[in-house]
Amino acid sequence: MNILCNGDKLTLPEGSLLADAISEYLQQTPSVAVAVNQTIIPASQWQHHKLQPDDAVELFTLVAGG
Amino acid sequence: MLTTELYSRYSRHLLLDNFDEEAQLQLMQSKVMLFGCGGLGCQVAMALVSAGVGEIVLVDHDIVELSNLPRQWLFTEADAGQKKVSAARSRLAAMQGGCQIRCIDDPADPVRLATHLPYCSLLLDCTDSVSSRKFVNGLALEHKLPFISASAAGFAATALALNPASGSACYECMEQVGEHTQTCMEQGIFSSVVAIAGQFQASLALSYLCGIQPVDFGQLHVYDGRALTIRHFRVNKNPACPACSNNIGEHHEHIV
Repeated sequence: MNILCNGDKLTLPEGSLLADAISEYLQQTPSVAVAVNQTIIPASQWQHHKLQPDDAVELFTLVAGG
Repeated sequence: MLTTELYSRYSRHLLLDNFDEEAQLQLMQSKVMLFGCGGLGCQVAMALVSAGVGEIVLVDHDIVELSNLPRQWLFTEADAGQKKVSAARSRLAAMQGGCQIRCIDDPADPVRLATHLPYCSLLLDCTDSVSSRKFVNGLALEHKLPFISASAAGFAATALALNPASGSACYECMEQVGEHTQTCMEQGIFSSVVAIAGQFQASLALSYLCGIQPVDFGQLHVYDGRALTIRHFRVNKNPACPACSNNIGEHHEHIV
């Protein structure tokens, strides 16, 4: 199945988990928020959240300064 | 009812669609507590006080440094070495003499916070670290108050309105806000990015206080200061949240 990850097309096996799609990115960025179809998915659910065809996954770095 | 002078002063508000005298009076009767008088806090305080907020409690323990001046526009070179809350109070009082401005320079003092918190209708998280954000989140949970949080570092900024007492997510529901979350001390900060984040935060606060339009609690707004884009995400209440899943705040472990 195809999904979008930060706007880029990504082909994954059917039934892939969110953690599978983002594992490579996570190695580069320790504090990242992940959204699927504009809803934030808490980190504890990344290993359980099944992706669907045409899902839009977005990753972005969280900041805490002010 | 507004006096003739106040009617004139706020006349540009009153020309807005659905902003009537009642909305202005509601703003003037509002009391808010603002945590952090840095880049965000300066913007939010200036916007709220200028717009007519009746009372604001400023909470910050820091002093003004020269490195603050590029983005903390309440302060001048002459303020260097002074407590931020004192310098901010002087400048804000000159902008709008009708606003009651209180200062707390020891954020860890629960007695002074407790004096004002029961009379506040909104908290503003303008702090600069994860631990201080968790502290404000804990107060919001404990006192069942809505709060508006913003953050900025590098060229990135976020704004987020939360009201856990009415069933929305809390700050810790995102889980990802850990020790590695980036701050201005590590990433630097582009001054206009923090100004935009602060004004976005102020816009949410003013909408809420005036009641002119509903605030979408749980909506995370993410600004990219390089691409000049803004994206919106939903933060849902997290059943596994360490702070709000049993509705007990953990703020006693944190300081601003």
